Amino acid sequence: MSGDYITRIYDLVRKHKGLVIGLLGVVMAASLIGLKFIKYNNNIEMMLPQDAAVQNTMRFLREANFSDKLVISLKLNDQLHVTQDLILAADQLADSLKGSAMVKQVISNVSAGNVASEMVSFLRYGPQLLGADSLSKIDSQISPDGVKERLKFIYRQSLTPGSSFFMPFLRADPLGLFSGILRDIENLSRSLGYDVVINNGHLVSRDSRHALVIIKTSVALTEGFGARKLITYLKGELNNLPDFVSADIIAGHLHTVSNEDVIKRDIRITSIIAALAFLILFLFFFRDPKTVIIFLIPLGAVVISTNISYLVFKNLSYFVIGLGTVIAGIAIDYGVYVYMAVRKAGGNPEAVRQVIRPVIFGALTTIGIFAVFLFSSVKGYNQLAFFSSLSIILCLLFSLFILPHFLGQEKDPPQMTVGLKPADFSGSKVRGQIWIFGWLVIMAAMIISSRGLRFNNDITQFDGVGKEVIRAESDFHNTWGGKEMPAVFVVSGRTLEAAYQNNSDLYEAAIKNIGRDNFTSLAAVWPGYDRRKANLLRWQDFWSSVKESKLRQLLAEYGKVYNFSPEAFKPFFDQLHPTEDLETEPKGLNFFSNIKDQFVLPKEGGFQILSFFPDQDEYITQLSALSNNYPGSFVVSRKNFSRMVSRALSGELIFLACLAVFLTAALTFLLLKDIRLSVLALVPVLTSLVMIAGIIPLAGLALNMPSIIASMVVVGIVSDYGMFVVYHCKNKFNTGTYTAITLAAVTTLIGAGVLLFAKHPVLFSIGVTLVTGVLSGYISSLIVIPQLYRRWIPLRG
Amino acid sequence: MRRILALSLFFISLLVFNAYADNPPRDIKAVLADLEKSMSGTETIQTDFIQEKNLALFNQKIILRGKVFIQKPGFLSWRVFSPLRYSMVIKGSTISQWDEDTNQVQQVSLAKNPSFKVAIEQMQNWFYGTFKSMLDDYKITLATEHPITLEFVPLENSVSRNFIKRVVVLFQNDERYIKEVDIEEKSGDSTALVFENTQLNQPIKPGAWEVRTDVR
Repeated sequence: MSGDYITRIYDLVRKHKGLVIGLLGVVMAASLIGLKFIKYNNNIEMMLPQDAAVQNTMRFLREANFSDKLVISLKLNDQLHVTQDLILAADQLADSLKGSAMVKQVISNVSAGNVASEMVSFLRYGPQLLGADSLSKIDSQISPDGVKERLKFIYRQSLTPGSSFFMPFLRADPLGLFSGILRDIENLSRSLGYDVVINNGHLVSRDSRHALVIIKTSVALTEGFGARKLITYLKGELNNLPDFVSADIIAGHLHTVSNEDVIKRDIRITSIIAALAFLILFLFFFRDPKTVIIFLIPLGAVVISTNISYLVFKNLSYFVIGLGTVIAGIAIDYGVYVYMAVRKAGGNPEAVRQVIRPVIFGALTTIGIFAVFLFSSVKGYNQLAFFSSLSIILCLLFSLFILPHFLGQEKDPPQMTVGLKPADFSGSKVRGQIWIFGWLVIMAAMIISSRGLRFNNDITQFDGVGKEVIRAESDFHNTWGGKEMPAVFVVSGRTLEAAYQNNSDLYEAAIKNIGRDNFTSLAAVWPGYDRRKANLLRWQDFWSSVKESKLRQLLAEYGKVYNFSPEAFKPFFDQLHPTEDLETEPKGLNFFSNIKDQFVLPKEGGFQILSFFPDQDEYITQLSALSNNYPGSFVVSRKNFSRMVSRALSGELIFLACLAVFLTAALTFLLLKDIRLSVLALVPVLTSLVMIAGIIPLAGLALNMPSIIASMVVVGIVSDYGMFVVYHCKNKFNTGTYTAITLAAVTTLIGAGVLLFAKHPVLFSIGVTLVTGVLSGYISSLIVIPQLYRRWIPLRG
Repeated sequence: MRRILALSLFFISLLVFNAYADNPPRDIKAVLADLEKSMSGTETIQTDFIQEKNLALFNQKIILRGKVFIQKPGFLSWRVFSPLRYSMVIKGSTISQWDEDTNQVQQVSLAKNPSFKVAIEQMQNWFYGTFKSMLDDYKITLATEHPITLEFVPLENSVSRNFIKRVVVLFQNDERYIKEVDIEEKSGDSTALVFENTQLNQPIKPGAWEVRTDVR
């Protein structure tokens, strides 16, 4: 190791060993302190591609007025108390919450006081709302038979016990012209699927045992610290409820907090298990206290990388940090290879020279795999790439230039018996054939099993929310409904009038495609200006004085039988010829304002109007096609969103996977400089990928984005094993290759295996993929490569 | 003479004062609880009724005659014999209606008809005596104590306030069932219901729960 730049660095470090160690100590101490100040983020947006459609949906969800709402569902716990007691408790809770700066508004009651009279009043807009179809129906009703039939109906209704409720409507609309409008209003108010009864102005369940309190907050859904503060505050207030009332909080904020708790717990547990496993491995199997340094190398590298990554990205994804143990498990390999080589040489640091090429190339292939994610449009993947590559580079540098100085020369190095016994090159041919046959059989079985492999693109699978939250949400949906959330069609407009108009145009097109019953739109009750103007003109044209006289005459004549008064239908005739100008929207009607709040979202520079439809594939396909005709419009659906994300990511991942495989193959070839040797070195890669594809369906799991990424990481890891074994077969250096690979695999398996203890689905899924891939890649590199090498490259062997 | 008169007035006023002092106005919740208790023993009710409707829709009052059958829990049959035969039967949450004009039975869910629901629930509360539950929607005051007359005024946020201005319910002297109900509507319409020939806890003919059957 003389004359080259590596030697110069090596010598420099040796000369200034104390200074280097001191500097490293300072950096480590600063990094450990820095960990306290790092802000982590579990925002799912970090793991989504920058695709326009995906970002549109995320922006909508972030800005929609329901993202700042929390719901508290109160429940009566005993039979001694009645709904009134519950309502009182709800009011007291609402009052106590109003004092907090985190709470913008508390809604515990709504006024039902004037809904009916407002509805009757709304009928004055009927002439603007009824289309040509309705007018032709009216025409057929203005006949002796039609009028007789309606009057008979009105008379019958007046005798029923509920007549008080119908009477104002019957007088204002004797022909039932506007009944469709009233039905549409009712449909709109049910559009979100919640089953709520108004009891004394409060939102109460049908069984009268539950009440709702809705809170609008200034705390963003994704703001981890604020969400925790808010939830803690609310839980504190809920403790003041009387004993006979219990409460559940239903909110996205709870998911934020719960996910953070689960990931934190996972990181804590996996780090402890991994640390213990590493220590036991090094202290008991190596039986050399110096191996603690090998253990400290990746730990230091990960801590320093975490700080640098934070400085670069300003905040770090929990998912990325959650992979810290995996990175440590991978990065520790280089220290192991160096340690083994030096010990085999009786502690002579010069032995590093014999492993330096495969160690550097091994590190480069792994870095290459991670680095391709720098080309991803997903910010979280960029972080993963930076964090992992940096950790591995630091680990490599520490292993090559610092570690050897701590491994002094020894006369009698301790013996180790770790790992599989290397496949015997001089062993019988038959045994070798059995090994290869066995490998082929397993590969075939896994290929058959992989036919059951399915892809799960539902992003909710990454929600690792705790059982308590799931229970509360299940109870909530059982009481209040709303489990099957509809998909949303969003249209935009620069002004409210323009938004109403676009919504109206879309509505006409949508109901032609999927039917009126499947599309709940504000346009059914309040169309755009153009349509209302056209309707009004048509109405005015329709109600000629002759037609009006005819109707008056028929009502008077056939009403005599029932003794109807001359003023019976005055409210109807009063609104027959509206004189007011067309308004942008109805004014002074609370019920309309309430509906509008659900459907119209004011935005910076305009308005968005929402319509709802069942979240089913056929409707999504048809309406997504329609959205192309309306600039600024888009569909938001859970199913569609998962598809959008997977569509956006799959193209990207195919590119990245190809790049990763190319990089691995190229680096392998650069190291071995022989096609056949390179092919042999890639046997573990092939084995791992086939095993992952076969084991995932056998384990009852589905392939998902994290497991695809983990598979790519596996490629980087096991290609190292292949390189080392082929390099060893070719050069026959006595550097303890098999033991080193075994230890490398064991450390990686520890790092990945601890993820099997993770509760968060993303980390667990990565754990299963890594363990399967690394284990199979390791076994195949030690058993299959030497056998194939002997058969394929006998002269060299 | 003046002194005697003055003394007499003084003693009368003392008597009146004492009378009030001995019988302070009863708390409405206590009255409702007493009514609920005295009516709780009633399992079935069958009574004739005369309903006088004063509606702006008609030139004259409409007078309906009919019969109501009630059986706890959840059974109610409202049958009108004149001027048009009409019946409405409620079993649990389902309403069946029939009238001689259309001769068709119409079935609807109570949950999907809030107007019917409110009307039926009120009727059930009056007959069952479950007035405490009405405190959610009404301000209830004791108008007279002997016989008991209750006045119900819808609370500001209640659904009933949309239509009803005031309801007055008069009880029989024994406080076991209601004698009259007067409803004043927001529109100016009004309805007076008088119950006669009331029978308590007598078996009700099964036909009463069939909407088409002519049961009297």
